[in-house]
This record gives sequence, structure tokens and C-alpha cells, in this order.
Amino acid sequence: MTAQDLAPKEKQEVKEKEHTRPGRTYMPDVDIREDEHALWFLVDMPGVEQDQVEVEMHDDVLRLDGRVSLEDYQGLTPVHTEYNVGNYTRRFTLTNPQHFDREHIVAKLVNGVLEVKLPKAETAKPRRIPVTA
Amino acid sequence: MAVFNPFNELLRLQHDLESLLNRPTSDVSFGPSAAGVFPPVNVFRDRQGDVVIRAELPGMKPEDIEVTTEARRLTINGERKAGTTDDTAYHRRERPWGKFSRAIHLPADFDVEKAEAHFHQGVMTLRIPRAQAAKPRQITVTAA
Repeated sequence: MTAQDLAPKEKQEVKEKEHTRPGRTYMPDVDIREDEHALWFLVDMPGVEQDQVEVEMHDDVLRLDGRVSLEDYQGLTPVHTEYNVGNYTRRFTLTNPQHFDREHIVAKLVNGVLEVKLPKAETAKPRRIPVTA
Repeated sequence: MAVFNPFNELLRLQHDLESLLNRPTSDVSFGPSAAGVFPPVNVFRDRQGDVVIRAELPGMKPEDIEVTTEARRLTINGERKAGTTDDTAYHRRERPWGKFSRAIHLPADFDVEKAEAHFHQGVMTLRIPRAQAAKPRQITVTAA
């Protein structure tokens, strides 16, 4: 993979729904990857503490929420700003929810990135069928 | 006495940040190429008058970020690595990756040599103290 330069991109505010909590909510950038064992989600949530993350699967919808920590802003007065801060939310509808093992979802937060592993159900894993003579 | 209310705090912070968003300030100069440079930064003053610079770099490790100072210039360098190179495994790929470099010019009354950098939950915070000479000083008046 060749090197490339990072360009800033503006945060996408979530506007289609009104939230019960006031304040701006942003759409975090997400990578979704699949391997034979699971569906992996990597979600950029800078400034969110471990205990402020919620991962929930309800019916066929996976919900990823993060509340940004404001403690580090105490006593600070902005003098120049290029980005805003806010909570994060993303919803994904799974086409085949029955193919996943919702009881064993694993989530962890590393350096501001939420990693979610949604394991595949045993029945959905690829199987090699031996060809016999 | 003011009660700390996280919801009001978030609204206030968002409003404060919004009111200054992308407006040039006289205090800290970012050079002519400030727009379109990664990472975007927010600059604050704390109660002591020190400068606090904050940037969001989720997924980076502190050891992958290089902060250097030279005279009054502070430079942030690094590379956000791409995950696995096998693109076929991805359903979605939105998280940006690549190299970055950003220089920030500070006013003369800051002690760039004493700058400190912290990295927590994907957010880098640089604190640059005000130079001792620039701090307010009380002069005792003595009888002649």
C-alpha cells in the first residue's frame, strides 16, 4: 500500500432524528470488515471513556453510542477552533441477523477507537465439504 | 453556586467552539496553509493563561505521534496506518489513513521548550506554558 497524505474532513452531524439529550451528535467514521469468524466494526470515537460506550443489538439493529467526556475541558476558554466535539451514534441494520451470535458480542475501546466483534453463528460459518471419490 | 450539569456543559462547549469555528484569531497563527491541514486543532487558554492545543487522532498510539519544537514553531507529525490491506474483506471503509504534518506558530510569550504532550482516548493535548517573563507580577511598593 502506498503512502498517502491525510486530509481533514468535517464531522457529519446526525440530524435526521431529534435526540432526547441536548447537544450535537456526530456520525463516527466506521470500518466494517468480515472474516470467517465474525463481523468486525472499528468506530472512531475520540474523547470517549470506556464506561461511556454503549453497544446494543436489538432485533436486526446494531447500535453504537459514545458519550464524549467533558472533564478535560474544565477551565479552558477556546481561542481558535477547527472542529466541534459531541457525542457519537451509529446504527446498522443487519440483513441476516440470524447469522450472528448476539449473545457473544465483544466490544473494547482502544485509543479512542471502539472495536466491536459480532461473531457468526456456528450455522453461518463456512464449512468445507470433503469431496470423496 | 453553579452545579455541574454534563448536558448543559456539552451545549455550552459546543456553542463556544462553534462561535469561533474556522475564524482566524490574532493570538495564535497557523500560517497560510491552515485550512485543509490534518489534524484539525482546537486551541484554548487555561486559567493560568497557558495555551492548550487539542487534536483528535483516534486509533493512533502515542509513540506514533512526533511532536517537535523549533524556536516558536511546534510541529505534529505522524502516520495513521491503514488496517489490513485486503480490501475485499471490507463492507465499509470510512476511517481515513495516511501521513500528516502540521505546524503551529506560537506567540513570543510562550515557552515552547517547556511544552508537554499527552494522549488519552484518541485525543492529543499539548500544553504550552506562558513564559515566566510574560506572567503578571506584583511589585511591592516600599517606603523610601
